[in-house]
This record gives sequence, C-alpha cells and structure tokens, in this order.
Amino acid sequence: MSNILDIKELSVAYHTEDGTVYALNNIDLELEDGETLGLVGETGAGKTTLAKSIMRLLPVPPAKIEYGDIIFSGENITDMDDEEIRAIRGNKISMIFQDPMSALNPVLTVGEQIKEAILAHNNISEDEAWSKSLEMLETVGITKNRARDYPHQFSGGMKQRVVIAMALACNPQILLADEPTTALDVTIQAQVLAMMRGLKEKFNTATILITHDLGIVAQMCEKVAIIYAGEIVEVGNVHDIFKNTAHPYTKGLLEAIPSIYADCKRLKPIDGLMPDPTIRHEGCAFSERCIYCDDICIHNQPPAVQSVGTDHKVRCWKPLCSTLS
Amino acid sequence: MAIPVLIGATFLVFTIMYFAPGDPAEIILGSNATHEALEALRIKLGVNDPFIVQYGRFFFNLLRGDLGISYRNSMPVTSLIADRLCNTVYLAVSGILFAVIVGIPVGVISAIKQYSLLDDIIMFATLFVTAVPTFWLALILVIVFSVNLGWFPASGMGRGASDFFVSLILPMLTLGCGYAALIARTARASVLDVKRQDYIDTARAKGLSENVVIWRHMMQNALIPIVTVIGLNFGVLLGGSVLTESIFSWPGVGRFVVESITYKDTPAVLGSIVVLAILFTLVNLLVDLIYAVLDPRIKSQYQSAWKKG
Amino acid sequence: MINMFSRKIGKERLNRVRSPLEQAASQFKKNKMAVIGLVIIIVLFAVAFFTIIIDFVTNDYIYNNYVINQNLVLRLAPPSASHIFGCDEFGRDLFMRILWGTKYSLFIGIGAILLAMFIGMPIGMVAGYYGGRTDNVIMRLMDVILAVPSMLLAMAIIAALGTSTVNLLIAMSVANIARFSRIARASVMTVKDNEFIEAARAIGANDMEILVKYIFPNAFSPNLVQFTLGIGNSILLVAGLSYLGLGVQPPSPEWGAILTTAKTYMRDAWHISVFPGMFLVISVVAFNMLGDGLRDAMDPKLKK
Repeated sequence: MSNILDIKELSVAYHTEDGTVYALNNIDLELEDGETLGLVGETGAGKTTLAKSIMRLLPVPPAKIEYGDIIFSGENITDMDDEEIRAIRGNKISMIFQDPMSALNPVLTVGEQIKEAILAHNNISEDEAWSKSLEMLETVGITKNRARDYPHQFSGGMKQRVVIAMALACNPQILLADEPTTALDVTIQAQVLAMMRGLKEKFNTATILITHDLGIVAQMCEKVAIIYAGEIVEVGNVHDIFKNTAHPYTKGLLEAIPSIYADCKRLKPIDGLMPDPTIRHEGCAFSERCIYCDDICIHNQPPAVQSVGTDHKVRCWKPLCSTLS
Repeated sequence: MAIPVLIGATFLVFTIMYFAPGDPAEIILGSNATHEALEALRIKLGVNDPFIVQYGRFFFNLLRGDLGISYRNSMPVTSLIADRLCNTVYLAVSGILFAVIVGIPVGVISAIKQYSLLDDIIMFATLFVTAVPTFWLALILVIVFSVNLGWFPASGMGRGASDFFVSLILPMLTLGCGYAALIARTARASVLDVKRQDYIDTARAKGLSENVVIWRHMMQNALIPIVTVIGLNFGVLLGGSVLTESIFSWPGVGRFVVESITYKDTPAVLGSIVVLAILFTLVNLLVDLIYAVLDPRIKSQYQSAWKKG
Repeated sequence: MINMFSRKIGKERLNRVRSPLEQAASQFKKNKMAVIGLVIIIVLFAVAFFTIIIDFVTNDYIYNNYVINQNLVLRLAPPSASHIFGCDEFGRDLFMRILWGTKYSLFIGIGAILLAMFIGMPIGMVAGYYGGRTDNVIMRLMDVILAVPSMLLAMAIIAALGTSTVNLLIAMSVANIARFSRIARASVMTVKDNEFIEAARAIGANDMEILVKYIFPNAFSPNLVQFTLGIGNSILLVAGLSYLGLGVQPPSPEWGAILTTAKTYMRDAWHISVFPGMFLVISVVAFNMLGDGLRDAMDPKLKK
C-alpha cells in the first residue's frame, strides 16, 4: 500500500507583532491509501495548524511554512501556486471543521452549497450538479426535499452531515476531519461517527481524524499519531498505542481517562501546561512535565522518531516500551 | 408594528409643540387687533379646547392629509410641505447614493487589505470625516468650490435639468460625506467580522476562487449590518438635511422647519416634523424588507410571525 | 502519588495573570491614537477651566473687554500677528472667542450625554430585567422617541420651551435616553438568564441588590463605549443647534454660534468660517479616538 500523503520535516511558524509562534516543529507523518489516522493532542498542540497547512489554508502573512515538504500522491504540493492548490482543495483533499454551527454560510441553501463544491471541480451542467448534490444529501441521511432549506433550519448533527456531504461530494482521496464531533452531544456524536464509518467503507477515503478524545480514536482509527507542542511524539497502530504505549505523554493521556470499571476518587491529570510556543526549547518539549525526565532530556532534543516496534515510532530518550532497550 | 409607534410619534411631537409659546390669534391678526376679534379667532382655531380634543382634531385631520393652516401666511401647511418635500427627497436620495457608492467599496477594500498602509489611511480619513460638522463642511465646500473656483453655485436649486444637477453637487457632498465615512467604517467592520467566520474557511476549503469567496460568500453576509446602519442613520441624514438646506438655501422641508421655528409658525413646524418622521419610518420599513431578502433567518422569523397572525 | 507529575513550572513560563483592568490599560497604551485623543481632550479641558477661572477671578473683565466687546475698526480683519485668527464682523478677536467658546461645547456636549446615560441606563435595566409588560411599554415609548429624527426632536423641544441652557440640555438628551436604554436593556437581557443570577436569588438577594451588584457591571461597559462615542455627536449637535440660533445665544462665543454669520461674510472673511470649525473637528476627533481606543481595549474579541 503506497502512501497517499507524506509529510516530511514540516515546520510552520506564525510571525506576529507580539512575537513568533513556532506552531509546528519538524513534523513527519505518513498516511496510507484508505487508512484512517487519528491525530491526538491537547488544544494548542498544532493539530488544526497541521491540517490547514496540508490544504494551504493558513493565513499567509502571519503564517509561513518555514521548512519541509508535503507530498500528496507522489507530488510535492508545498510550493504549488494558488490555482493548482485550489484544484486540489475540495476535490482531492477535503477538510471539515470543528463547529458545524458556523461552518455553513447562513444565506445559501444547503443544496446550493454542496452544488457549488461540485461545480468548482467538475465540468458538468448546473442541473447535473444539483442532482448530484441531492444524492450526496441522501448518502448522509438527509432527505432530498430539504435541499432548499437554509442551514439555520437544521440541528447541529444534521448540519455536520451536510458539511460531510459537501466534503465528500467530489470523492476526495483524503479527508481531514478537525474534531468533527466535539461540538455535538454524545448521542448525536455516536450517530455521526457511525455514518462516517459507513462512508469510509463505501468511498475508501483516507482520513486524518483530529480529536482529543481517545475513545473516538479507539473506535475509528487504524493508526494513531500523538502530537505535543508542535511535534509528533508517538505514532503507531491503534493497538500498540493503547497497549504498548511508548511515550510518557501518551501514557499520561491514557491514565487521565477515568475508568468506568475502577473505583475512582480523583482524576489523574498531567500536571502543568504545554510550553510557551514562542520560545524554542532546548531539549524535549515534554521534559518539564515528565516524571521520567533526566538531564539528557532537558538539554538535548530527542532523536527524530525512532522505531520501537513494527510501524511504531516514538520521539523520546527513554521510551516506555521498546524493542531497543 | 410600525403604525402604533408612528401614531405615538405624532402624539409626542404634538404634545411638545403644544407648549410652544405664542398666541396663534395674535400672530395671525397682529397685536393691534381687538380683544373680541382675537377671542373669536381663538375659538375658530380651536385653541381653547382641551388638549385631548385638540390632539384628536389634529390626528383626524392628519389622516385626511390636512396639516392645518400656517400662522405665517395662512396657507395650508400640507401644500407648503408638498411643494418642498420632493426637493428634500432628491437631496436625501442623492446623498445616500453618494454615500453608498463611495462608502461600501472603500470599506470593503480597507477590510480586505487589513493592516496595510491603505487600511490605516482609510481608517484615519473616515475618523476625521465623521467628526466634521455638516454646516462647516458646507461652508468650506462653498468657499473652495464656489467662491474661489466658481465651479458650483453657492446656493439655491437650479431649474432645468443640467442646472439642477450642478446645484445638487455641493449639497449632496455635504450631506453624503459624513454618511459615506460611517458606511465605510461599518462595511469594514462587517467584512472583517465575516472574514473570520468558519464558513469562509469552508468555502476556501472547497477550492473556490478568492473572487467567488469574496463576492458570493462574504458580501451577502456583510451587507446585512451595513443595511441596518444605513437605515438607522437615515434619521441623522434628515437632521443633516436641515442644516444643509439652510446653508444652501435649498427649498426643502428642512429649511422650512428652521424658518417656521423662527417665525413661531407652530402648525408648520408640527406638520413638517410629522411628515419627516413618517418618511423616516417608511425608510426603516423598507430596510426591514431588504433585511428579509438578504437574510433567510430573518425571512423565517417574519414568515412564522405572519403565520401566527 | 497524585502529584506524581507535578514539577516546578518555573522559569515563569506562564505570563503573570493580569487583572482585566491592567490588560485593558496596556492595550490602550498600545493604541497611540487613543492616547493622542486623550491628550487633546485634557488640553481642551484645561482651556475650558482656564477661561472659567479667569472669568471668575477677574469678574468677567477679560470676557467683557476682549471676547464680546465690539471694535468696528477691526471689522473682519484677517489673521495677523496681533490677532492670530483674525477678527469677526464686529471686530472681536476670533482667537479669544474660540478659547472662551471651549467650555460650551465641552460641558454642554458632555453634560447632555451624561444626563441621557443616567436616565437611560436605569430605564433600560428595569425594562430588560423585569421583561414582560413593563418591558413592552417602556420599549414602545423609546421607539416612539426614536421614530422622530433626533435633530428635529431637539429643535421642536427648543421651539416649545425656549432657548436656555437647561432646555438645550433637555432637548439634546431625549433621543439619547432612548438609545442608552436600548443598549442597557440588551446587555441586561443577555446576562439576566445566566445562572449566577439564579444563584444570587438563591442566597436571598432581592431585586434591587441583583440589579445593582450583578447586572449593572455587565450593562456598564457597552454603555461606556456608547458614551464616549456619543460625546462627539453631542458636541456636533450643540454646534448645529447654536448655528441655527436655537442653542447657545450670542454674544456667547460657542463655536457653532460663531459660524452662524460666517456664510454672509465668507467672501471677505474666510477665517471666520475656517477656525471655529477646525476646533470642532479636532475636539470630536479626539473623543472619537478615545472612544475607539476604549472599545478596542475592552473588547476581548478584538485581541489578535
């Protein structure tokens, strides 16, 4: 299986009046065809920045891709000009955003918005695009006769379905889903996720599912990448991440989830906060909060991801489980 | 909806003018008239009647289009106003057109090029322009363009098509500049606000060209607050027209009000203000309609309110 | 065991948490225009107080002999070394007149809007808090007031009541009362249903306490912004009314009043038109810059 997306050493910074924010540092990430990759991290870790960088949706005066390459389907899209990248957006790579309440234009009908996506990339007549848009609505479980309704007439869950329909309308090869269910309540969340699983089987779209919820990752993903302070600190298949956790941060995340079985008196958060992104740190980004921290961790950057198993890589001086140690 | 408020407004203005000093009989007949003549006239005019009766009379006459008789020249107020209303409307409309045609593009450009030097210049310029008093702007414009350059007449409304338009230019600029600056600022704020909405990201993520994003997605949403501001400030425009018409001796209702106050012609003042209030309310209704066209959320509200009866 | 992961955060990685007031003040300082506006306003206040004190101390000597005395020899004299802004149609020194006119624009302008705020805010708060019938009645009343263009309303009131300073203040406030009440009502309604209000009731606070201690602080800041931005309009309104002869009466040198006769003499004496207007513009710009600065400083959404 080939990699449909290959990100190499991607570094992105925001240059603002108040200082430079180093949002992404040396990101390496691979996505295989048809695979669902979970991207897990805290708020502010850089997940959205990463997704937007792939689509080149970052606001370019403050933001800048300082270094690195994004290879899509064998082609380097990092330096593509506007016209070329627009041909890819919505067409080969689609993105859906976190808050369905504000993701749709309130003055256009939902059918119209889906049709627009289709017409942008397909040279077909308006009528054909309209009927295709009706089909997409049905695929996500919305009846055709609602196509002429406006977004405010839909509930949150249904709006998200519309957004998904819009994203998949041109049958993209990659779907970037930025916390698609975070803004929805739990029951609706389950419905939308079930629908996404069905769609994944039907269209075989490779997906990067951004979330901070490890439960969703367990349900939906084959591979998982953990991002912390703009760096990928661990990546592996879902089994290894949960059972053979290698990075102390990942371990902390897993331990912070209250167990439904055990008797839990207090939650176990990871103390501290993510480091200040305007300061380039010397050693490991996680060193301040890590209980296994050593001198080498504070002063030296851990080597770029090292293998600790098949398809399991970690960025740590003292990985918790390793075929090396 | 708007009708009770309008009725209330007529009541308000009537009540205020009720307290205006001056005996109408004396004003009309002069202070040399006999006591009996004055009293007879007072009874005829109905000014001795209780307040409510007087208001009732005023209101019913209003419904029939009768605004009373001017104290100054004993002509029907309605016809005096009718002669002048068109002129005020021409001025107001041209002022609005100017303000919209200049203001919206300026505001939008400023927003699209946020943080650039152009943006800063525009923001500063609009700040200044909104601070300029209408009557002072008129004076300066007249001094520069009439007295010194002789391009435009300093006062009066021209007869005949080309004279009319030439004489309209300076008053239109006077009235429209402040409005244009206000619209530019609102447009800028509105576009900036829309620009950072998620659905703009969504539109870009669909691969739409920047032009389509701006015109189809941003503008229709951004227009909504702009239209509101235009409507709300129409009243200020009408106030401004009072000053503008006075300076340019433009024969409109605004100037008429000022004259009437000077001559203590209460029916004329009352009638003019009521007419202008009606105009203002009509414009606001128009704005509400435009609103419903632009924003389907509002349209839904109206529709469900309508269904409820 | 629980503090297993705790380590000294140290290196003061976190910015010291600043109080909202400190944050607002530093944001404000960053906004240079607002500071310039503030400086200009301070200067204006200084001039106004200066003229008031001089009048008081010299028992109007300066006022009578330099501001309102007529000296027809100097009629319409253009700007010169001894009369830097020139003289008006009665030979009065324009510079002195403009200085003495500062206090009218400033105090009447600010006074009118302050009055409107003090009356309008409570009305709006009551309407928003109690809702229902009270709200409907009050808001309809405010709608009626706002249905008449405010300049015309002010003119009508002055026509009816006469041209005194008190009447001027009343006439100018009426429309603004309606505006402030709307804003106050809107902010009250957003806060009213918040849970902390219910919590306050649960601990036994009565309506008055709730209004004053909880609702008022939330209603205050949008009104504050409206207040500063409204001062500019207020000043222009005083000037406009005085220009029409309905405001401050001559010979008082209110800036708008000075401009009343400017048109008649504009061909020969451009200076009468230009200078008072400039001062009006500068004052209003200063207040607007201050208002913009305050609004930017207080609005967390606008922080980059």
